[in-house]
Amino acid sequence: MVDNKSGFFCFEPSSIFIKNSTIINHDGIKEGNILIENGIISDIFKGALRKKVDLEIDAKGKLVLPGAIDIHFHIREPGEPYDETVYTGTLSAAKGGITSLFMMPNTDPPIDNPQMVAFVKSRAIQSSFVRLFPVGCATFRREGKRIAEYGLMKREGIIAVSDDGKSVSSSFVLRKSLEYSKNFGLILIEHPEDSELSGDANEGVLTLKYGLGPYPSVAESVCVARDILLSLYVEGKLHLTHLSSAESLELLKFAKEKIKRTQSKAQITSDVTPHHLLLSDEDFSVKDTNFKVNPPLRSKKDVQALLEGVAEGLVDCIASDHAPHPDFKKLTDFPSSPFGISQADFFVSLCFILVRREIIKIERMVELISFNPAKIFGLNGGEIKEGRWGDVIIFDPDREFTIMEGDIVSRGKNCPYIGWNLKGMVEKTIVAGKLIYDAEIFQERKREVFP
Amino acid sequence: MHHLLSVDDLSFSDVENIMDLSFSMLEILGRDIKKVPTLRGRTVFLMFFEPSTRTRVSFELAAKTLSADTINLSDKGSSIEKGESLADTIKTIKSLGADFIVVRHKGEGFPHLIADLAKIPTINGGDGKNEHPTQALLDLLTMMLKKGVRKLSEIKGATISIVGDIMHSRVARSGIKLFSKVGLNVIVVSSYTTLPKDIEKFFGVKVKNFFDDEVFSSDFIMALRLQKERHGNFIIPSDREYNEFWGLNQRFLDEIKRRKKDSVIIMHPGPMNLGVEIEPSVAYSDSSAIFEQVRNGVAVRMAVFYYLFTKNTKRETS
Repeated sequence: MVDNKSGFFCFEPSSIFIKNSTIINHDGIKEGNILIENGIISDIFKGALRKKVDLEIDAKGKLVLPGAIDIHFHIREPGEPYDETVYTGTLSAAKGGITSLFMMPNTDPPIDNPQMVAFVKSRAIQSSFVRLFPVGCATFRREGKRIAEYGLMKREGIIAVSDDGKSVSSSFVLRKSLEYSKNFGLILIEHPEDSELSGDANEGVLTLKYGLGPYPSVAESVCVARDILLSLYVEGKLHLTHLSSAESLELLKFAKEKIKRTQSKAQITSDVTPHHLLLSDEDFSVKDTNFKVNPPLRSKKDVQALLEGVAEGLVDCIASDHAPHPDFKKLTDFPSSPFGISQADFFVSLCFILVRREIIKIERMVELISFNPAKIFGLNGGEIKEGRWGDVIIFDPDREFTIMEGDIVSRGKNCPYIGWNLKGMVEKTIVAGKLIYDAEIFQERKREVFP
Repeated sequence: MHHLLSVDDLSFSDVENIMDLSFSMLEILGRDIKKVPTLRGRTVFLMFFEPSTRTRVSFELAAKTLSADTINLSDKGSSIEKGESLADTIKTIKSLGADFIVVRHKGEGFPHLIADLAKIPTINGGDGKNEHPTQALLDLLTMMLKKGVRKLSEIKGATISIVGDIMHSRVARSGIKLFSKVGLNVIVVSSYTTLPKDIEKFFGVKVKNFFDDEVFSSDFIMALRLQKERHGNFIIPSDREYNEFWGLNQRFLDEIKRRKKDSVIIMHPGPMNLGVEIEPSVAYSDSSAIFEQVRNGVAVRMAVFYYLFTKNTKRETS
């Protein structure tokens, strides 16, 4: 399907009826039957269905959630299809409860011009199981020197711009990027990192114990501070991705309060990842390269601050930063191992840990993974409501399972949660009214589909 | 008015007088023998420290048509190249007996300094990103001629849209000041990256990021040159993207035609980056006044010389 506003995927929208649903939205829980027609939620009601649909599902005893909108996702195509293709990446997303994903442009070659966007779009139309939204580079070749063709790329369908993998290091170019994106109503997604200050592991227990190159939290927060100040100055739209430290959140709080107080037209939003909420630098040793991620897993104090930020409403979104790497790249000495964690397969289940631990309510989880991403980036999803996209997941909050390498659909098996027992599982994923993933069928057929 | 350094130096009646004079000068330029003795025995020093075709030549032509003598001076091949200080160069020029100085330089405020040091009537021929007052005057003259009016009061209320790199354009700054002064509605169409911050508050112009109905139905649309030499390649992603969103291209012309707005007049201060901010189909169309602008430049500069001459002579005698 070709539609810049609805993302790109490889099938026709469909009709589906989900009865006996416990519908979870960011603003409340209600019971009802959901009718999705031609890919759009057309009715939520109680009573019998008088129409013919392609499929009927009984969700009795399960929760129906809006599909997650993952605003930070890496697919390695073009360049490294062995690491992840559109096919494997989007299937693993669907399995994890993600119905829309933003594909970061740090591929090889990077998505820095309209022709590349068109290529990604064509691949998505051939083989994407979920809505795929390409993100365009903020600068040509991600070199940080010259802003890329935002207008022409937007025409081809980019949802935002970002040099993800690194920040826009020149303050001048960052200013111009924030200004230029304003013309086209695009948001700049910044990966805040001062590369001169960053290393391999959080400065603290790991660097003390093993002598690893220090990547202190200040390497992130100096960049966050600069990004915030420039965004306020030019009244630009900035999204700070994968924030990892207490200090960054203090700065974010300052920014949000200042915008409110001065009625600035600037917009500053943020996301954190499941791993920065669930893991700390005390959870692994120098040989556990699957825990190597950028920004690095931080101290317990930082984790606590992020959890508070998520609970209090300071943080806007949770995004996976799904970054698959094959074993032959990842399983090497710590400094040589590439940054990244693969977790799309279990995304919603991992977020649900926060609900289980009573850090947030399930409505707030939906707000973080679905509603806010849709609101910030102007998508017609994130909510189970008439007129919205028919993107929902059927979630069993009581079903327990163990994360096993053999269950990972993504080509990246670099998952630090292997062996974890989780409670709460995605049973079905529906995108545009079409059943894309069904846990039962997957368990029966995974051996033949993924030998 | 001792010098013409900025549009700020011009009162409304100054502009009125210069326009009246320009019409007379156009008449002189239409004659068989284009020479009047007005400035006979006077010397004009043309100091151009930046490349120029039409401005320098039209100043020289204006001076010569008024029978003045002209001297060309630039940093290349002068004592400035040998390291003579600016102050000494100016003193030298003064001793040599200049009656007018026309100066172009990349440094904003350079002509103001010359005027202060030399105390000779000085005309700003363009200083960096600051001002180019005679360009604004010739643009105004062009608009009046195109509208077939002789009085400033008759052009009041017309709308001009200035499109492109406002931030690096002295033509835009002088234009905005002058056109607002005489009561035109000024719209600037520009990317935020090429728009001076808070320009709408400071100059009271209307700001738009892209063409829209209001722009298409302006009386005049002026494209600015993309000033690549002033900002390298860092502000605009590519020529093709610039042309797509801010260029006066065929699609732009079609939009105007679709609105049956035949009277819109296209202007450009030159030199043009064809295919970037303007396409040949627009530049050479019937709506284009681009080459008339050049001709009018000579008349306006004659008028400015004459006006400064009479003003300064009056002051000396009174």
